[in-house]
Amino acid sequence: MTASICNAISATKANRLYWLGRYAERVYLSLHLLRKFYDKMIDGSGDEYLDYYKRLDATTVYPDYTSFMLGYMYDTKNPGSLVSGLELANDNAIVLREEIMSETLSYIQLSLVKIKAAAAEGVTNITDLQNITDYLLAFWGSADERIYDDGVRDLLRVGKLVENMDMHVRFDYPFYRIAETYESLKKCADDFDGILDPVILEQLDRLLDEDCYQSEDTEYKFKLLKYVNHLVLL
Amino acid sequence: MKKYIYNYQTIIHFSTSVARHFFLLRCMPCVNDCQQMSHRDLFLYPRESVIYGADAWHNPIQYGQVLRPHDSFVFVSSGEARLEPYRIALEKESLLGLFQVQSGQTVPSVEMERFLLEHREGKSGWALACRLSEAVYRYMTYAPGTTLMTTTAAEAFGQRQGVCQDYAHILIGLCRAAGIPARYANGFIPGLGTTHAWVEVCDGGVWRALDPTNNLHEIDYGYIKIAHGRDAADCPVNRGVFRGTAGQQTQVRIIVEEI
Amino acid sequence: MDKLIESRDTVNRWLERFGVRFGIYKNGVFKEQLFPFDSIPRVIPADDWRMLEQGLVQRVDALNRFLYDVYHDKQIIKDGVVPAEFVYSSKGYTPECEGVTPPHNIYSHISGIDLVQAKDGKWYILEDNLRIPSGASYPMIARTITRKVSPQTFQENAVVDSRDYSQLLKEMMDFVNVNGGANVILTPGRYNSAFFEHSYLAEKTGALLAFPGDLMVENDQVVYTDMYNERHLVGCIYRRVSDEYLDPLVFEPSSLLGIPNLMQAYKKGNVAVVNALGNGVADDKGIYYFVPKMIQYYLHEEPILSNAPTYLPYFEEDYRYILEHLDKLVIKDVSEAGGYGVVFGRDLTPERLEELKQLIMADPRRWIAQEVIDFKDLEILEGDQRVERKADLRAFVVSGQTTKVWKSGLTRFSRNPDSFVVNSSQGGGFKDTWVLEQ
Repeated sequence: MTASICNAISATKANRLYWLGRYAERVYLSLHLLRKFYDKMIDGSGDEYLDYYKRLDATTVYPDYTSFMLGYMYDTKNPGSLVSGLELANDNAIVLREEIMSETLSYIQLSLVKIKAAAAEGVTNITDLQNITDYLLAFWGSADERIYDDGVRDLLRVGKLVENMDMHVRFDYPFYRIAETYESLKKCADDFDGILDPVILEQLDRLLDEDCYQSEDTEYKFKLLKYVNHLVLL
Repeated sequence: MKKYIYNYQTIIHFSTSVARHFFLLRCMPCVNDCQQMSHRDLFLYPRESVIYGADAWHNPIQYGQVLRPHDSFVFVSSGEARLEPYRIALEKESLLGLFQVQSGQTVPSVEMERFLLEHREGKSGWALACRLSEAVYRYMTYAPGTTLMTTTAAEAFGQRQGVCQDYAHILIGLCRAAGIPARYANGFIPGLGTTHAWVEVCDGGVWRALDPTNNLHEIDYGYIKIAHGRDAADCPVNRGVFRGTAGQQTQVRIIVEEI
Repeated sequence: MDKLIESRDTVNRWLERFGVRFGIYKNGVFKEQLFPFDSIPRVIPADDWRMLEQGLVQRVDALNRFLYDVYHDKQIIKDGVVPAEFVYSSKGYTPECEGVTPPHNIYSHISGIDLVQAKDGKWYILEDNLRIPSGASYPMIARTITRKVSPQTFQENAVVDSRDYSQLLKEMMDFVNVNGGANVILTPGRYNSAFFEHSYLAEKTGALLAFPGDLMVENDQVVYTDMYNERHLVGCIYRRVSDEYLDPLVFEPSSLLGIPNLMQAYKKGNVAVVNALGNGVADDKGIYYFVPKMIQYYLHEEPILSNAPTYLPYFEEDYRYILEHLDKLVIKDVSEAGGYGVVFGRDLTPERLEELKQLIMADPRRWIAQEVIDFKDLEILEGDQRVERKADLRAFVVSGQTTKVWKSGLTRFSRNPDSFVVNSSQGGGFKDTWVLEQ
């Protein structure tokens, strides 16, 4: 008897889609912000990278700029490194092949192969990692083009938007950028019954008010980040 | 015909709560030529869903699941059995060959084969089975706690001690090595607080039973069977899997009485 | 074809891009390796293929009949064609399957039949894999890539399109699906060596990919639970988990990969399991010997494809032959645990030969012996050099409404020039298998 089409997404699968979205976005934004900080360093004192690193709440300590640069990009033991971010994205993507399609998965694979090759060669110039930025953009393009199931695509996007909010708050982006993302996130999550924690949602609605937004205030920022990261119940 | 009432209780305590607990029980008596049930009941706690079915050997099984969290699992099987002298006509001839080849827990060791040769003395069939049963009884020492559920006939024979399960496995291994179809049976007997294991041997199209642990040839009454199979691995009373890492403590009580 | 052969590295890069890997454990650490693709295809002319196709269909049909018979009336045992003890003492014989009838009586839905070609062109069956044969996904994806990389090659050569494997699978699953519920591919998980294949086949057949824990049996029905805790009925499980791990309440109790009470749902006919449980009894090394006899017995036909000439010391005549010709034969130990493995008599010292002879005499049922086949080697590229290496062919036979042979297959080769072992975990690679239109 012909099987019915079943678009059911298990809880584990939903969780993986969410985290794939987050990690892919994290690596993409990290590269973007890293380039900006390197630019700052040209005119600055040269230790701006410390500020960058601090904002990520990273725990691995690097004594100097070169060890930071190599470690932050390629150290597989540092869970916050770019290579770890891609490994984690891949760990989720590889078990989602049938949902996101081989073509979409391939951009995560390509990114991972690229960063490993760069690590092996000890590439220090970030422009050489431009391919990864391209691949990650292609990843999102492919997700839009090829994933026919709205649920799958939206769960990926929920992860992406959460990560986007998180990173932008950390790097003191202006209020409207964060508020826009927040609105998109709510809209995107709308189709999924109960995936946003209602209590946290209420708190975020209160905190993400133009008059209330104080990115300089560490306590506020800490609270905001905490809520952003606990908003999605997956 | 003799009548017996039985009541078999098992209480499993989990050290922490478990969920998604799936179970498969063999705790209710079979119905066959010499064993009819006036009634048989199963009490389960917690009870979400239970289905009554049969396994490959047509033993009754009771299976289902308890999805919600619980910290104990109780099953009580009770009823009234009417027994005739223990003789069961061969159910399916095509399966007889299966009980002639050794299975996982019955494979005899070299010592067991030698033992068989020593006791054979030109006998065969049922007579040989009875002789072997007695020989096993004399050779072995009953010693609870010296063997495990997974102990093989060869291992128990090697250490010369074990419990009813081991006695049964040894006798089955010897019978099969002698070309006699034999199978493992377990159930309840009067006066014992736990389940008991014995041996069924096919002789001339009829299954007859021996109890090597009690040196009893030609069992007639009092043995209420819940399952038979190639060896003990086919007849577990209770199998379960659940979500959680709880430790388990199990209490078992059995009452069997002739009425 | 030269164009294609030159593009070996390009094809391999595409394979890497798509994450075409297989997992292995080395010193306890899981690693994902690429499966090297060799661009010189194995080419099978149309006439050869017709013969192979007929022979494979015939063989698989007979094996399916055998499996049904073994778990039901056992006529073949009663008629003395296969001795009872070969069946009952086979590790693959599963008494829990006694009397269980799978949907449409199909046991082996996907059969991986391993063949080799001898120097004289004759094909021999090496082994039947009726449980969870793997490997079809590699030539499947390779063909989609080679057609893109070198379209001219496929314009110039009339190669039968082999991209329909997923369609064959899907049709078969739909055919055996018992209730119109979902088709599911059950994988043990990402750390299984063939995980790529599980996920790729799910993508290509549109089946749900289920991981351990995703499926559950409730009221004798198999259901897939979604993120809202809603149940979706499952009608067919293409499982890539072996029998012993499939239901922890019936088989291996410690299994975390299985679905508790699946056996009960299956027995009631509430779900199709692909391949059926209990198939191991028919692809046992000891049962292999009897397959040509099964073909005669069930189909009243002469076997089109031959076994590698095999001898069972269990039979008097074979026993004598083996002991006399031990130095010319390949000896295989069929006892599973702690086995002797596969040895070539010609490689043994006289003492070792004598030792082996004693072992065979002590326990004849444990051994089989085969004539050494003079393999026809295939060319592969080693760097830029063409060299000849041992290779086999796994043909995939799909049994649904009818039995069909996939018009391609997995050709594996050994990198090591002295090795007869064609195994991906030992550094071998694979080739595309071309079946010609005419």
